[in-house]
Amino acid sequence: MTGNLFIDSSISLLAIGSMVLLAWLMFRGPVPPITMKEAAGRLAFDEPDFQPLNWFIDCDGRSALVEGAGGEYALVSRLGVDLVTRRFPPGIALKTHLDGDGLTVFATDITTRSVRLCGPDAAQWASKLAPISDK
Amino acid sequence: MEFPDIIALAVPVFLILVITEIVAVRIMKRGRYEARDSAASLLMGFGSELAPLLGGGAIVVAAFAGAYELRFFDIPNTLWAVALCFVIDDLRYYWWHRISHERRWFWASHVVHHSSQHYNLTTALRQTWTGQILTQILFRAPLVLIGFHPAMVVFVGALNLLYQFWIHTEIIGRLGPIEWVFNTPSHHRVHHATNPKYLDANYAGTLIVWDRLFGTFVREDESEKPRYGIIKNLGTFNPIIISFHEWVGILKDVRSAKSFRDVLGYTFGPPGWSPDGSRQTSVMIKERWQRINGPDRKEADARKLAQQPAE
Repeated sequence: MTGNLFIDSSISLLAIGSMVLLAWLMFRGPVPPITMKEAAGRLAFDEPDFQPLNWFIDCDGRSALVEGAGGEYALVSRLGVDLVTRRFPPGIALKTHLDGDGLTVFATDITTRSVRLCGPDAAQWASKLAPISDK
Repeated sequence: MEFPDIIALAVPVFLILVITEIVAVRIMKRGRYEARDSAASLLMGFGSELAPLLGGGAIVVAAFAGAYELRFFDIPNTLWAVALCFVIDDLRYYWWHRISHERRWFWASHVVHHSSQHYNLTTALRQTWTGQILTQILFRAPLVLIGFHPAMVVFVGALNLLYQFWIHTEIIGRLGPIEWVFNTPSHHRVHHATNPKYLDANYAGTLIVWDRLFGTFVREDESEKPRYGIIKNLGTFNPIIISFHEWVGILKDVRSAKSFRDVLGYTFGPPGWSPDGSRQTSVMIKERWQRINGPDRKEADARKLAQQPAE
């Protein structure tokens, strides 16, 4: 490196850009929609004692809302090609917003702020979550 | 004796190896790259090099200079001293690393390195922007105090970091007898895994013997593929959120604490600690897994079988 902060930083950013571009070129492709099997597998790993009962899978396949035994819920959402899960114990404050066929669930942590799901069952799921939202 | 800035010298090598790995992973179909995840990792690495320039670097330099003035011994800058310093620094690394997993204050910085669900050479560069001042002063300054020259201490630390770069890969399998003494890709895959049987294991930097010595060694099991990341994986690729999310978590928990004991627990307890036990620490996760799959369960099943009347 040159010892000049600006030049060194520029070179580093250029190198980062080239590595990311190569990774994108090599591994680009459509991200498969979430399936119940995939989401259930992930939930079983992340939350082994969560027992899924009912599923609301986003019409675009980007996320899933799962009702578990005992009145708890879980969210499964895509992050790139990976999955991220969040579990909401019964009674936790959970904000939602219903917009036609779209249901936005506002998670409670800084890294997963909100997840939007669409589908004909959105209103039904919004009312299911209402008792949680109201608490 | 001159101590070169080997990290700066190694940057072109990092670049070549990452490019080689991307191509190799594509061809060998072992693991995969996610471009945005790699971008986040590389930007975290870039930021970690800039962070000391905000003032932390100067504080550490001053602390090292002060410690060297008070040194117990005059250790010459010779090759044997470098070798000795490297081994002691590697032991220092083991304990720093272990504490970084066991105490949330240190985990808040170190979690960054584990926050990718991928395991490749870019993950090696996913480094923290925070916590360096305390880490350097608490864990590195003692070596200077013993009498190793500060430049030597920085050099062996960089050497250790450099060694750990190549072990962040899925394309290298087991390495025979090397696995007995050195940290390898196989050992470090275990360390990055969130499978309950792999939690809290293989903290070594260069020499895996520390894990064998202190009882934290776990061998990679062919039948259980590591799943990388953290217990509660992040839902973002944003480097700023990745960098500070655990600190925000500590702050939120401390604000909701009902007693001073809770404040201490949230800050210095194990990650996942909560006053009512409603969250899970890695120890709790391992215990639950052992109850279901471990020797206790197997013994219980065997006892049950033995008590059954023979047909």
